[in-house]
Amino acid sequence: MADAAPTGGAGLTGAAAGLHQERTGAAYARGCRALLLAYPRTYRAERGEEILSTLLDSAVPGQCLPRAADAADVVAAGLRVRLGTPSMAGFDAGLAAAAPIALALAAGISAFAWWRVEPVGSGPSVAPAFLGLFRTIGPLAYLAWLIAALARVLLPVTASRIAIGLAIGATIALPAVSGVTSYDRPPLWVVMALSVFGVLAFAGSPIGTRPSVDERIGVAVGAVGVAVVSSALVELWPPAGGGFGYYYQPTIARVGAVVAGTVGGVAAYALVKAARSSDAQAKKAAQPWLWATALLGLPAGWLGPFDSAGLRIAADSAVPHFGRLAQVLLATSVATVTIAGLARRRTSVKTGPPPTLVPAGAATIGAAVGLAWFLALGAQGWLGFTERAPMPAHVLVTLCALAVAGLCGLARPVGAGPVGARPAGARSAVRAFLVGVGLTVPAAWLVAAYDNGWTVGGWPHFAHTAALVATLAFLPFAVCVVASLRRVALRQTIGERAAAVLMLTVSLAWVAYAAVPSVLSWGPVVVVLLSGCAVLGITASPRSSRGG
Amino acid sequence: MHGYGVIQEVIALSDGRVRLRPGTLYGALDRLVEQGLVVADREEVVDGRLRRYYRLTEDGAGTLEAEAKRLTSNAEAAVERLRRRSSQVRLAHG
Repeated sequence: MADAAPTGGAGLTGAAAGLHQERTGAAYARGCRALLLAYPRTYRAERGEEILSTLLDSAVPGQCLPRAADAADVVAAGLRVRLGTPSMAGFDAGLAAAAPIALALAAGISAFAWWRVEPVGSGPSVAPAFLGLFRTIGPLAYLAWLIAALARVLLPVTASRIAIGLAIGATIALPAVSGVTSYDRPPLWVVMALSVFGVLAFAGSPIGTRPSVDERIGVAVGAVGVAVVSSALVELWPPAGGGFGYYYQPTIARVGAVVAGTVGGVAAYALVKAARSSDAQAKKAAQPWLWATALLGLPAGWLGPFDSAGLRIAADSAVPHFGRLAQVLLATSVATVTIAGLARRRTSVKTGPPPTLVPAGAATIGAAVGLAWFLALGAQGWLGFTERAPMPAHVLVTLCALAVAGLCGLARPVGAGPVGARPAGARSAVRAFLVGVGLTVPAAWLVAAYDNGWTVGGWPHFAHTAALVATLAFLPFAVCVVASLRRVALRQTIGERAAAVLMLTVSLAWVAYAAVPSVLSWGPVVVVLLSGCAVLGITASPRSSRGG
Repeated sequence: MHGYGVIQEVIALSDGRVRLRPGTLYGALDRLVEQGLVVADREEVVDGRLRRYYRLTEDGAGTLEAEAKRLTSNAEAAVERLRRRSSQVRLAHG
């Protein structure tokens, strides 16, 4: 199209039509430029003008905004470039493999919760019954998930995506709806797991694909299977509290075991596929299933089983409190490390400087500063706490460990560059530090509010809340593990290697210190962890295939 | 051929059934360039718009040829099966 500037304005005089054309053309170009912001700056510098030209060429006369489908496509492509997924070997196929499984799991969990947990008579209620029938407003979202699964089985992809999107929206809305009404809601971890399973199902079913009959049947059978097996598991392995009485600590925990079993099955399939043959082509075929395992492992790790009674080996005062939050954070960390390990296997060799420890180190120092600031003020009875209290010893251990791991990343080994040269990555270090502080302080406040029944002040138990807040350290330590593992594998000076090894050692040591005393409370994270280790072990072995 | 040219060509080849979106198109071009199947050939600015032209590399031409042969072979096998089926139907009715 030679003249792509939107025209239109039929019936106007020549000058007015020209003015109208100019305005709509400028508005259209502005809209296109805004869309390009979805891409990272370096990519925009290289490709931005070219994509903009194509968008302008595609315009029809009179068009003043990009088409919705084009806009969604450009934004999705930009986000994918930001995440680096286009160059991750097997990611797209892995997401596509995970999508039907994720939807079956979400629908199965919903069916089980509605059928076994929600009916008013199935256990104690703390709030008025929803519609006089249910203990929480969960069935609003559960119904949406069942409809989404049905849509996937019976309808084209476009319709099932709409249904999945609505189910995600309904699930995310539950806490807000509960907040403005007197009704209770399902536990936050269930809401989070359902939402992320939904995101996987949505993102893994792009428009234009056509699910096979096997896949459609698989979603239906899988959903029914999860609900029925979970129910049978509660009958066969009754929780200490008895029956279906509790909403999630024993009951959804059984669902967690079924979900973990499913993820374990996917991992086993991937590993068998990878182990079958030693040639690179066969290993490549296993890569999507490794991705499916890692992606499903994230929300799967957020479900139980979790039983707080009698499983802790060490006293609470000696180590950070390993409760539900710590379990979720540990599961998130393990899944993140697994995903980062898979992301290293790229479809092409990337040029550019090797990764450094600087951003991870600076972000970790930022997290330490954020935690120290929040907890030091809290110990003085500020920020909503009602009492002055001493800082628990394990919190000091955590802060020190964060500082040491962070400094390993910032240490500048002898021989790393010419004397007087500007420290490499100073700007990225400052940015990472600010991100570390900026994320940690609000996260610490949210955890404190969560620990005190979502109140914004009048928090009475500093030591208990501080123990929970300190478990946020799982996340910066996970970042340190990923960064140091990447760095250890590179050719480098002894000083650089020593810094990476020390960062890795301190990070793993703290995770062990916080999590090992409560090993029996890890729940399905154990499965995810073992799967992740096995996956990484298999995929890391043929060094020669890296980057191929 | 430049990006918009590719979109137009795909519409023409598919009789309007397939319309590549820009994000998808450039994602695919990135992959093809990374795999060495196409290469950016030249650039020009037309009406203030940057057009970057791409061409197949030798590897790309070879891969395309192999894929075309595979599809042709599949299509020939399908046509042959249909021909056999038609003759069997004729025999059954004749």
